[in-house]
Amino acid sequence: MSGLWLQVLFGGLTSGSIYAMVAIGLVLIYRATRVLNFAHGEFVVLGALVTISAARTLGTALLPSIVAGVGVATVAGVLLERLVVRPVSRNPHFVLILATLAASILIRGVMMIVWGKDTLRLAAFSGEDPLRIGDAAILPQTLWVIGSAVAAVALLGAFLRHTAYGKAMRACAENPVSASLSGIDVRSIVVLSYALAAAIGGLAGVVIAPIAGIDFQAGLLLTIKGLTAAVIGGLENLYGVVLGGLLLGIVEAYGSAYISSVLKDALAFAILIGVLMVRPQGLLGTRAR
Amino acid sequence: MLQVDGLSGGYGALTVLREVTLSVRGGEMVVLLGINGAGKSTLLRCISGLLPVARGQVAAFGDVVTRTTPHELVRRGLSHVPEGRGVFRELTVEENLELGSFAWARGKKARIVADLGRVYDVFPPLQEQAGRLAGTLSGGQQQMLAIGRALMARPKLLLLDEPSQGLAPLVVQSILDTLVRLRTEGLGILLVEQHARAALARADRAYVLHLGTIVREGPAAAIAADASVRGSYLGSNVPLGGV
Amino acid sequence: MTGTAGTMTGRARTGWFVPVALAVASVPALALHGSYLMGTFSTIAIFGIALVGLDLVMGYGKLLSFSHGAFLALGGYVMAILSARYGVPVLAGVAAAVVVNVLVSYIIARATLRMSGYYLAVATLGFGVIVVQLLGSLPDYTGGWSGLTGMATASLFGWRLSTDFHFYVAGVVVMIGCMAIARNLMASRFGRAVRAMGDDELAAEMLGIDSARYRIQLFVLSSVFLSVAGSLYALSLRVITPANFDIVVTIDMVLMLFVGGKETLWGPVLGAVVVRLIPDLFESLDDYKTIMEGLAFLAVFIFFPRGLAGLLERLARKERLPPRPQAHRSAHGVLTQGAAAADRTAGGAPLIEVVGLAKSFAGVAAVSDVSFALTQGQLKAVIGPNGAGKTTLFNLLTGVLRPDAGTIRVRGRPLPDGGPHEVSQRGVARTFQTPRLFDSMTVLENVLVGRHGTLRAGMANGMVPLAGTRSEERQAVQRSHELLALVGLEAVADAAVTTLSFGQRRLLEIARALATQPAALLIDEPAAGLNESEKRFLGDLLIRLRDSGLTLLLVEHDMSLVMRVADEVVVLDRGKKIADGTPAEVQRDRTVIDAYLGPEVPVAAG
Repeated sequence: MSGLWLQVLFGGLTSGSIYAMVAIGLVLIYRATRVLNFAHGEFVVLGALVTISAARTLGTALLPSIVAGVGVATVAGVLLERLVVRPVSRNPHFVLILATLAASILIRGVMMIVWGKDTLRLAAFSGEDPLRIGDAAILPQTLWVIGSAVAAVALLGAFLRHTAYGKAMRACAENPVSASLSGIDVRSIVVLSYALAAAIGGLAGVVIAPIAGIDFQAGLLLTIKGLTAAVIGGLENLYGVVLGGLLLGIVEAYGSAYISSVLKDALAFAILIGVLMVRPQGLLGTRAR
Repeated sequence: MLQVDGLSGGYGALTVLREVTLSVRGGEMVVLLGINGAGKSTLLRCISGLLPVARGQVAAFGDVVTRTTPHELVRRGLSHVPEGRGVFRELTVEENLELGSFAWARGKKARIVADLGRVYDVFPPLQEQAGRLAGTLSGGQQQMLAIGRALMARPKLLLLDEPSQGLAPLVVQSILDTLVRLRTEGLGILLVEQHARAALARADRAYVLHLGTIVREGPAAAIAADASVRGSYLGSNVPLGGV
Repeated sequence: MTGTAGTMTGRARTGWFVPVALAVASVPALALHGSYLMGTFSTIAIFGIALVGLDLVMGYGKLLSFSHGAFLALGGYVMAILSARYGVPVLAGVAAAVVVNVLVSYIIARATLRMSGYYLAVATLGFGVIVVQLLGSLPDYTGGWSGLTGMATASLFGWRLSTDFHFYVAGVVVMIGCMAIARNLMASRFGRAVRAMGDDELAAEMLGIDSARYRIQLFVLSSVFLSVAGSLYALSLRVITPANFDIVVTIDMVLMLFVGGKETLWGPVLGAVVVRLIPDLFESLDDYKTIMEGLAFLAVFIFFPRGLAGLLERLARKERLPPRPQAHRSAHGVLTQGAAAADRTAGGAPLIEVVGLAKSFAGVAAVSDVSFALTQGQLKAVIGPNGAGKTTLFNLLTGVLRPDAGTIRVRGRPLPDGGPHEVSQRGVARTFQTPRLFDSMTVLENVLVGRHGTLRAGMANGMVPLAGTRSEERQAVQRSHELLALVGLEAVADAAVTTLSFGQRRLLEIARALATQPAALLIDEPAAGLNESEKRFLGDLLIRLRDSGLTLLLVEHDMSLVMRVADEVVVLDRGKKIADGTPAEVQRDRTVIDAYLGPEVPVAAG
């Protein structure tokens, strides 16, 4: 049965990678504006659907389609910040969260009109023939997913550590007033944060589309899973939420394989509630919330 | 260089400043005195764009800047070092300083390196601590870092909000003397202080803010000898410089 | 804003609600009898019951909890299972469902007590998903994903509920009953405490409100409404599946709450009308339903934060004020009552005694080795330059912070460590540097919240007020008016707090603190932001309070005020006490002068 064990591991890493990418976006937005973006999953779906349309309907080659998908998701992120978050930003935070919830409903509605209610698929990037790793048969697309997550984390980390804009983003997250006084245009950094977050989300949608069918409703559950991962990881810490995402994916996969596949979502949330009860600030969160 | 005229402003329902008028010229150090709650910090925030101005006007370097954003003002040469230093605790000393040049010189490596060198000249301890996280520095070092970061933008005018707060006298001395040095290089300085004596000993001119209005202004020495200034602090009339 | 009266003395206000609501509800009953829309309306009425519960938690309590779908589901499934498998009659089934929900909600409330805002949202979302998945995965018990059928026809006191019209009537009657009870409750002591907590938890705690306890009670109460609604919903549907209660329904209900108008109790059902009826009426627009919902939701946040109910209220504009009880202009009664409440401690023993108090943050000492005493009837001022530790001292004295070392004794007993509400119950009241008022309430209601500790009514008495409760409310209102007269705010008693000037806000906060009948009142920078005449009034007020036996501790910067009113002055500098004496002594003290003006720091040569 060792093949199964490995198989499940890859399955867990795959879904965990998606959760991690969603969670990264959530944390970027949270650090920029202290808002939990309930519309985040919609960026993932948008990225996937646009790419599918470009590739299948318009017959564009894969890479430009992907660029289109990620691009549209990015634009959606910027629009969310401009049209929804900014006008409501004077309100208490829980109103902001609900405003993003409202936006998610709106985006879902638009997607339903444009793409209908069908589940759509994208062709796998490098074919469907499974690779043999040990006793397990792994879809090549899985490696694309995991690879994308690794690349996203690495590039984002490098961006934040070594570029001027990245450091400015960290500064704004910590102390926007000081950042402003240092000469940083905080508003444009906020927009950049949303754009990056949405882009990573869109990418996640693109790479998972060949494995899991995407339909206009898929965003909500993704948002919740991403939020779960982010909360487990501690909301402020980028590496923490990546860890949270991977943990979530792996626990879900093993729980689904060895305990019950029907209860896999319930299992995930039970873990979340358990973690929060013991550490209300999340696993790697710093401040007690 | 800086001209504030008839400025009134505050926080929402609360009007803190009423008709404040002051000026700072290049190469001079002006001290703004007053007790807690007089509105000193509020005034600096109105000048640097953090707070909206209800009435009146702020002009810097010949242009009206009343509604300009803080980061735009930094580009024009006005830097504000806030109360409590405001360093980025999760970033290193060097990263903090680099961010100071964000407005002008994002990514212009050569210029940033040159400016870093200048700041390290002014504050040698910062160079020793260049790789440390700012949150681990002592109060005095953080104050140096905050001022250093402001200097990275090559300001022509510096606003400082209570740099001496929480610092030991020797450290205060060192920082104030550094400011004097910078002043001789042409920098205009508006210094807000609660601890009047040390600041007045080095400043050119002073204003006294009480309950949101300027109640006294003049050469620093004259203000130091003025009994009524002390009165606003402690409710009695004994000259500041005297026994 | 004030959708309900903050006091219960206005019987006229509550009395018209039920007849008007019945009249409005009879319109669909008459107009749609026999039409296919009757079913929609019966669902709307039933959701109206659930929305009362949601409004309590999310509207008034301002808790971002998404657990309501789960409680609705439990209410529905317990009823359905008991009816289908065991033939249990309606009322028994509803009662059983309520019991289950009370237990579950109590557990969830306790578990999430320490979780704030966002974490609560995600955790309760998770809870909702768990419940729905469990219901779907246990087909032997619940019929699984394909649903539960076989419920007996509901029968209430011999009346068989078999048509949509029957369920509409039943739903409306229960809904209006729930709304009336909830309206009473939100106007009572309980409701004021909950609203205060929602506005500003710390300020509420400082008035003696145990926020943990109220939060749990609110949660459990809300689950009762949700349970009843869930049970009725199941009966009306005849067949229920987990999908009837899933996350989409949860979010829909939040949508209804906001579009209809939160914090009104009657508003959200209008939201339900919009969300449920419009798609049914315009079936051709089905595809656009989601977009329109999203737009409606967003429009509410950006343009109509108070929802449909808010719009209607603005159109109606007629504020019916409660009949005002005779307000005694003399404030003397208030003050002597306050003094009597303070134990006369024998021969000058200190009321508050602080010994060796210390507190550090991140290695920096904010307060170190501070000791002083406050005797009863004294007015003491704490002064010191910026950063001296004065606000930290206040936070230590009021239980907001725990000291690292040292003791604080009030009337000889150590300060309780259960939080600010326990400190308030011990007789210490406090105002804040920036007044922390309850912005959703009127001036009078704010003061009434201060009376919380002197009143006895609980949740039950709040829902159905009997003579004793009504009488204690009347007295509380009267006392509150007297306190407002004392601070000169009598004329604006019914004004919204948001319309007050800064000086008025400050005075209101003092009146509210006095309402708790404290032995000691700690006031943080009362003169800040006041003009000269306001300061004169304040000074007079402080002296009168002191003369009536109240003990006062002030943090203040305005020396002229301090000179005028203080008996003694304590001076702090960098967390240490550097002087303690009469104002005149302190004024001449060399170390004090140096602390304020800073040391003589010689200019470096060259």
